[in-house]
Amino acid sequence: MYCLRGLTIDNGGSEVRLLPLDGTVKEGMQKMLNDFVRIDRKNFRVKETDDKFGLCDIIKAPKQDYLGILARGTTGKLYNGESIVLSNTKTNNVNYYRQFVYDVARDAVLAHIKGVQENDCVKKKSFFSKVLGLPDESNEVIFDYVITTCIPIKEHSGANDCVAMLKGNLAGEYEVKFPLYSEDIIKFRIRKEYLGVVPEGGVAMTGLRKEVGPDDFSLLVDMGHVTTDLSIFKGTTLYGKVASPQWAGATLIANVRSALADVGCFLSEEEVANTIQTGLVPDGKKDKDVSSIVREQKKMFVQNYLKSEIKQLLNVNALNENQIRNVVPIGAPMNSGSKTGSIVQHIINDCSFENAEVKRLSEDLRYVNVEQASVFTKLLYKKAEQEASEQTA
Amino acid sequence: MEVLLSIPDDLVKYIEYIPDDVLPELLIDMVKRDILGRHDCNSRDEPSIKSQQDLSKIFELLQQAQDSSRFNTVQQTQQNSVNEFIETEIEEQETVILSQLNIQDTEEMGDLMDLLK
Repeated sequence: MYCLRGLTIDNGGSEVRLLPLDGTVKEGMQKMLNDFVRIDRKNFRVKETDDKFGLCDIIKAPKQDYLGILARGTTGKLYNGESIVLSNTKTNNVNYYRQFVYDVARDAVLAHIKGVQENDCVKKKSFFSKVLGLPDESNEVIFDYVITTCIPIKEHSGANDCVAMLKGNLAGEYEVKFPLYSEDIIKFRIRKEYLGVVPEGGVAMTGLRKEVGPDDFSLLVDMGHVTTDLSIFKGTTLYGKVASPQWAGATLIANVRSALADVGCFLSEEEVANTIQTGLVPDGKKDKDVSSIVREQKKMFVQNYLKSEIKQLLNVNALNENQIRNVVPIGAPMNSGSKTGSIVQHIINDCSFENAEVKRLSEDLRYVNVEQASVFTKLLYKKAEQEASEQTA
Repeated sequence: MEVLLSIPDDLVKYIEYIPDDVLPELLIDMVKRDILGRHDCNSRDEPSIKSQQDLSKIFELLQQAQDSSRFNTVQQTQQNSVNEFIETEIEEQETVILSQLNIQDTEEMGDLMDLLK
């Protein structure tokens, strides 16, 4: 028995975000650091951990490469696993798909536990089965996923059909277990026609659709962990060439980390990411204020890396800075603090975007892509529901 | 004598970037050379003189060169150090969480449905 579920997935270099259909960014969205490991089955044994869903055994999948045990977070650290990381190209990277399967599996097991199978889907199916004299298969629930996910704009709109590759690599039937939780087998399927793919950054234009004129040029700066995607939109349509320089959040973190080390503050990457937001370094009972260092590094990051890339993008697309009406920042590093400065402000200044307005699409710029993509999930889900009810009729 | 003087395309295109203390001299030099050149002209066709109209255009350009504030902007930019940038207050747009809006159907999305593959 198939039970529809809607899910929006933003699988980024530093963080994975899973937004179920009935959730919001503030409530219901799962956020996980992208620190996956793959564990050899012969080395696996059950261990005590707080996050029992941090380890998943994929026992059936359309591709052999996806089978096996994946873990992450504190649970992953309990095992000697092989770290699986994303590259700057997602759709031709098997690790991206492995992580994707885990993401869906995790949502499925939580839905299983919440008792979705004891609610509408199972009750209705069981009732109609009895009325119609059909075998009652309500005990076996297969989650039928309607998913929208984001991929880099250069893959979404590039010469290679990365979207078709992604759909082909993910469509199919899956069976998974979370052995640290129970022996229950969770089943789900992904169908090509209900797997929507939108461009990171570009999907932000859904939020601006009523605010931009058809001839307005907008510069999107999606600063991820591995790459910063730069793109220009005319109205709501992608315009010309895009750029994806590999100077992004990780570069900023490395530079800030180095600058802090010069003044005697030795922090992990995770701690530095936090310091970039707050401007503070934990130092015993009282936090140390390093906001001036963070401000300086943000300024230098734009001057040394982004400014020339943006100028080049404008040149390649035969535009000048005066034609840019909007600058749309996306990504965690774009969140500005009153003390730690604003990368988008430096972009405006250094690139002379004197006619541009800043369009912030979310309170937390980390979640622009997943929030805007969820609009498409809702629309796809509606379509899937309609199809399901027509089939039932 | 009629003098037909055509302003080079490059000059017309980039005239706003030429400092105002250079432009008049440049144009006068062009006129002078043209007139002096035609003095030795052996062409059977005498250039027609629309001197009043042509010179009016030139004087108009000269006048614009002296009055235009664009030249002031160019001069100011040249004088500023490349390491300086102007701190301007950019008013950020009020945040609207648009994904929470109730979108009923794909028609409302219009061309944006092309984003979904």
